[in-house]
Amino acid sequence: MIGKVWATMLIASFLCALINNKINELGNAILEGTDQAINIILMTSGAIIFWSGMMKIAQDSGFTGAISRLLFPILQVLFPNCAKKQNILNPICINLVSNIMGLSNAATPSGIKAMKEMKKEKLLSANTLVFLIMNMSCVQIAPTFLVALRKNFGSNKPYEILPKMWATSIIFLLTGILLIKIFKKNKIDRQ
Amino acid sequence: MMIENIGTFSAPTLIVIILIFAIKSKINIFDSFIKGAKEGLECMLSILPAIIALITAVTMFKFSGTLEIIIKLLNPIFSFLKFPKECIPLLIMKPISGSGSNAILSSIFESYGPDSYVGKLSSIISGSSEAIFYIVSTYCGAIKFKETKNIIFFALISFITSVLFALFIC
Repeated sequence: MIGKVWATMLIASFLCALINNKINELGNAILEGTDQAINIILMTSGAIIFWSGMMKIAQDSGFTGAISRLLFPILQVLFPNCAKKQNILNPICINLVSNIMGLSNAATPSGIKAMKEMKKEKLLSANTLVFLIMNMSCVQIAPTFLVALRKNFGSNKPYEILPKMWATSIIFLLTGILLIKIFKKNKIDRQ
Repeated sequence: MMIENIGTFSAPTLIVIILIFAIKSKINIFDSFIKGAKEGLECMLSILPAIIALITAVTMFKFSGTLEIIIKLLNPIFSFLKFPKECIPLLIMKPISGSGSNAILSSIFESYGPDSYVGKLSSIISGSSEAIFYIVSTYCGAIKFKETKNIIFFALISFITSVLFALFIC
C-alpha cells in the first residue's frame, strides 16, 4: 500500500514539476528532504530512547501488569463471548497496555497472538473488529515522538495538546465500537 | 488552563509512579532502563530508512507544486466545514502510514509552528489514531483474515468522526 502511494507521489511530483517548470526546485527538494529526515530523527531520538528505557522499567517492575488487571473488567464487557477465555484475553491485555504506554514494539507480537487465538477458537468477526478498532484508536499516555517533534519545532508547551488528543482518541474508539455493535450484531457467530 | 496543565503534568507524574513501582519490586532499575533504551535506539534506526524515503517524497511533493493542486481541488469540501486547508495532506496520509503522516506533520510544524491553530489541530489528528491500513494489513495478514472491507469502512467513519470532534474542540 505505502509503496504504491510513495511511488505515485514521486512520479506525480516529477510530472507536476515538468508542467510548472520547477525541475530545479525538485532537485533541491531531494537534498533538502533527506537532510530534514536526518534532522527529525536526531531531534526525536533522545526522547524516544529515554521513554523506551522508562517503559522497560514499567514492564520489568510489574507496573504494566497492574494496569492490565485494571483493564480486565472492561475487556469482559467488550468481548462478551471471550469472557472466560484467558488465552485470548491475556494477549489482548498485553497488546492494549503496550499501546497505551507507547511500546509499539511489544504491541504488535501480542496483537498477532490474540488474532491467532481468536481464529483457533472460531471467535473471529465482531470480536476481531472491536480488537482492531482498539488498536487503531490507541490512546497513548506519553506520545514521545509527537511531543519531541513539537518541542524541537519551538513549542512552548509541547504537552499541551495531550488531553484533547486523548479525548479525540476516545471518540474514535467509541464511534468504532458503536458502529460494530449496530451493524455486526447478528453476524457474530457466522465464522 | 487547568486542562492544559494536565498534559504538562502527565509525563513527570508517570515517571514518578513507574519509579515507585520499580523501587517496591526491587528490580535492577538502571539495567532495565539501559536495556529498554537500547531497544528504543534500535527502533529509531529501523525506522530511519522509511523516514528518509517518505520525508523526501513529501518535500518533493511540496516543492513541485503538486500539493497545491491537490489542496485546491479538495478545498471546496473542507472550507465548508471550516477545516484548515493546511491539514488536508495530513488527513489523507494519516490512515495510510504513520511515518508518512509524521513527515507531513513535521513539514506543517516547520511552516506554521506547533503552537499555531493549524499546528495544534495537526498534532491532535496525528496523535489520536494509528495508521488504519497498516494495522489491517499486519493483523489481518498474519491470520489471513479476509473480511477486511467492513473494518476499513468502520475505521474510516470513526476516523472522520474523530477529526470532526478535534476540529470542534481545538
